[in-house]
Amino acid sequence: MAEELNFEKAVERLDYINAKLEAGDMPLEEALSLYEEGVNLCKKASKILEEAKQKITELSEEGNE
Amino acid sequence: MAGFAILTVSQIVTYLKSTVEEDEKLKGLYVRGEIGDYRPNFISGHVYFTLKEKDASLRCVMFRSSASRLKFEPASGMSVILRCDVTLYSRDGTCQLVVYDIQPEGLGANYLAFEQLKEKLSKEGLFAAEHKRPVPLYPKKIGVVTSRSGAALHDIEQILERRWPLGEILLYPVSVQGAESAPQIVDAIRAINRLTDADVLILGRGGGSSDDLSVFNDERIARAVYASAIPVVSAVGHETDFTICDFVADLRAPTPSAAAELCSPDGVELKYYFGTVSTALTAKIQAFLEREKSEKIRGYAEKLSSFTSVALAAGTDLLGDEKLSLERNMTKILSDSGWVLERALTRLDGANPAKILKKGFCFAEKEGRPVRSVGELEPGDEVRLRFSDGEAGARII
Repeated sequence: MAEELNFEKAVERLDYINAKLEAGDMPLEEALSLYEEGVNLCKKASKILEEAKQKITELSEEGNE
Repeated sequence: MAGFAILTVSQIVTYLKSTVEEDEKLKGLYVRGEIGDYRPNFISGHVYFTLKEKDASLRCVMFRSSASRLKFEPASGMSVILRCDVTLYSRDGTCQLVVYDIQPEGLGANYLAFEQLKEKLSKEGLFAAEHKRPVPLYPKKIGVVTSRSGAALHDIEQILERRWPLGEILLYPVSVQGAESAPQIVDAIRAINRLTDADVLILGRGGGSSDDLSVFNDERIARAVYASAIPVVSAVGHETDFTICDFVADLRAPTPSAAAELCSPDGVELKYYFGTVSTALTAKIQAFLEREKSEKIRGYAEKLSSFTSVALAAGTDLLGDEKLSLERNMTKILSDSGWVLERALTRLDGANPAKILKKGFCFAEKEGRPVRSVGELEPGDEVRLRFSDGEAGARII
């Protein structure tokens, strides 16, 4: 049920978006869609972190199919 | 004394010294004995003692550079094994041992075995820095090879739960002590490689006596760790305990808790990061929109004032219509960019326009679409005005 998110890529992407918006040299529509993407990414990541539950799976030689 | 070559003391001493010190058999020795007359010199940092047996003794000196690396404090009466060279001390003309390391005798055999295995594996390249792989920053699955009942597992679980609950723990329980332990650990490392897609593997146990930890000096484990395709973090005992496994592993952690920290990002910090980035992005887009708005307004204002001055110069109001449409354009620009920002914020704020409306704004809809400009309205049009707590119909006059 937990959504998949590559945190490494998310952090990279957010740094990129942040720098792009900082520079600001792009059309309004592009800026808005980057902004929206960035904020959604933050929300998604925070939500996943918030809801994460530690999972422990026990393995054994015989027990593994 | 004619016919005899007469020598000086220093000639003899020099000869003996070179004979002793050039003899390879007297270098890199391991010597067992009991420490006597232990005298550290607190000023120089050098340490002096004798190494005794029942009816023989040798003077020993351990220079500061070596003595400072000792993990324990030697004392008279202690049974030890020294690693040393034999040298000759010219001033007294006596042989002495220059000591590089002291191990308490209890460890004797293990210590030698350890040193020999370390040497052998090091020569084979098992410890080579080029072979060490980086530990992933955000592991999805973390293999753990340790005892099911040990403190190590408990510590690892606790740290990961706090820092990175997204990392699933794949526990392969083994015995971490005793004869059956090494083959079990080898099987576990291989099984995790074969059966799972773990991103990293923690191998270890909590503290114990050096005998307890000695299984991690097993050559079979060292080779299994080396062969593991998954990066291995070794976490055996405490800060001061080093095992062969530590040298082969891709990363050595001083304790199991530290191993868990080394293979997980700090989730609390990450949450903070996403929160602050989100706020920063909002500030930036607002600044962006402000800039956009003021540039457009400046453009129109310039046009408008030039029209106005032309009109004034002509002394007529011929340009009144043009002026009116410009003014309308400006209003549209202002409300457009305001609307765009509000729409963006609203959409992102859980798609809840009520928040903005609560501040006292309302917006108008004509035929189910938001009215963005006064230019879209004609007298007689029916519009719906939406407030935070409801809506009302209205007619444009």
